Amino acid sequence: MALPVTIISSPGIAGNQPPFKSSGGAYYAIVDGGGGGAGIDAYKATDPSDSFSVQDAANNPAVTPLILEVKQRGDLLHLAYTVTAVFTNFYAVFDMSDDTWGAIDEEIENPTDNPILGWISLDARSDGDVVAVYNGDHDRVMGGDKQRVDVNVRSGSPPTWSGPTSLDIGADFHYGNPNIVKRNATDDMHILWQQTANTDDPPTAWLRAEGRTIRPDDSLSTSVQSLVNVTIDELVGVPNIAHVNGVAAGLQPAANQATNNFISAEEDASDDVNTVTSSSAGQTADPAVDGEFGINTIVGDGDTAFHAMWSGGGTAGVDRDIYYATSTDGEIWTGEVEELDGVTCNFISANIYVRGADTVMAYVYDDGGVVKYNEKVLIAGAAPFLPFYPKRPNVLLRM
Amino acid sequence: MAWTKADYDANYRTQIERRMPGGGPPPSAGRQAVRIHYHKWAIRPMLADMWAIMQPILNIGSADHVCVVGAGFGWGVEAIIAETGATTVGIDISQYIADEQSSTEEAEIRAEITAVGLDPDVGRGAEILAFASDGLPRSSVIVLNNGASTGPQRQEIRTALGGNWPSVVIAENIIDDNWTDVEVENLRNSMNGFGGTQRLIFVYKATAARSHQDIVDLLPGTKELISTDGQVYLS
Repeated sequence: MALPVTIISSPGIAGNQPPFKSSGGAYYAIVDGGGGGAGIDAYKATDPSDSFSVQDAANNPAVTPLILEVKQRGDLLHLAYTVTAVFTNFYAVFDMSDDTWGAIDEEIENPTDNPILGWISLDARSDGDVVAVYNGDHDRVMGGDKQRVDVNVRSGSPPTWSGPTSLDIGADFHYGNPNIVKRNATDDMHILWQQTANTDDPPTAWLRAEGRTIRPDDSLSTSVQSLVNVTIDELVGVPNIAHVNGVAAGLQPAANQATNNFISAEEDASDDVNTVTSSSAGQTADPAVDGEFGINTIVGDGDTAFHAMWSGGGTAGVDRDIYYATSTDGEIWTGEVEELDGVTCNFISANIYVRGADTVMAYVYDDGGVVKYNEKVLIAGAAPFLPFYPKRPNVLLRM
Repeated sequence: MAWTKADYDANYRTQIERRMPGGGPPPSAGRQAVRIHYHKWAIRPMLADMWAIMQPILNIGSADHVCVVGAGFGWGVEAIIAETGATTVGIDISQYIADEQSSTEEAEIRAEITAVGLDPDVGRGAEILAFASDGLPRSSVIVLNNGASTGPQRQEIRTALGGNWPSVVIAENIIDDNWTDVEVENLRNSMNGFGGTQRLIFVYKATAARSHQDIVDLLPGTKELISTDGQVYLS
């Protein structure tokens, strides 16, 4: 069969669930199991251009996720998910070496004062510790409910969650939509989220980006804040961030401007985030916006370049075709290219790996309520990207 | 609009444990996190930040005599004094404020710790108590139990200001959606009751029901309005 291949006739889940490749050479996708309490399912393909089949369906997380992020370390897929309505945050793991689920619905935190807008992201260290960041308990200030962002670490043997620690500084501000990504070379992880002094409750726009680094010893670097960027005037979350050569970056659509904006963080010599920028990518894309979350994905190819895809096209993104752009620094991006025409993209998430003779940007996307697998060949002939490109010097980003 | 403790509790809530060493409780603890309300640890730095943003816009002078209406325990008064050097007094009609301003917060914070099943004298409970309570009286400045609505009340304010009428009267973010337009007008009349040429400043956070401009339009005459984040200033 030819690509694309249908995985399941159910909608994509907001967040980040790209396809993965196991050490055994199989391919996996974590998807909504079809609603009605079917939960989160793992699908496997030995040839993703042929078909996928569900794995260990009897032991899956039988919940309806609102947000889901999946990250790979070795043959383990680490999942963090927020459950609809009650905003409880859970963790689970899928082992691609034996195709089994584990740690199902392990509670990270059940915020007592629900966040108004749910969000969760995670990544895993090389030693198996897991770090989750999410919209936590909201505080109340002068009668207004204020969104907060927290970090929570899973470690030890047997592993347990540490309890929430604040990422933000509180006060009469809203914070939300934190994303986390591990550096390629170390277990330092960069965290980027959004902030607004907008006094509406709930807020109507994110005005800044903020960032911190959680180090391997769980200590946090000082919070760094971007300048107000007037082009980021939507209350739209960044679905995921990627790390390339000293920069962590994510994509935020801004429908009013019909452009893509990027938030990005540069790191200092000690690998802490020291500069955060929210800026226009200079593209003329028409990104689609689906409620509170952008429909896009960003992935790094080792330490050479960012690759992004998003739903857009037409006026204000109504076409919902899939577009592609790339950047070596998260700041200057190529012009967008239509990657896939004639689709209705409601969700997309991508990864990069070698399949067959090619290095591909493999992506899972929701086309009109049907989750499909597809690939964009980045390098034909299996030429791998350099795993660790020499670190670029720190420079202030263009605003 | 005289707030009770229940009103303050309902309008202010901070999950404090996640901001202290050790973080919030993990799921295995089987309890909720401790929350504090209108307490110094959470509110005083917020008001200090707010006034640090607003003062460069308002330019209250060190020679001014300032009366802050709805001052609570006076943490905003402290901030104004720190930012401007002006002689400043707070007033508040809440009996809760009057009754508790010279007491410490310890009893209330102990109650919050106990409410989640911890002992405030042992272990984590004691750590939270030490972190959240400084053991000092809540107010370190003058806050009169006074609405500036009668002659004797205004004279009391004048006395507290060293025999000077206030040159600046500030409503410190006290108007919310529960206020009627008439009540807002009455507030303005009280602030304007000193008979002089004092500046009237309304610190106000807009809501869906009442914008910044709505307040300005409602109140005839000279006044200033500033948003709590300093982004809006109307005069």
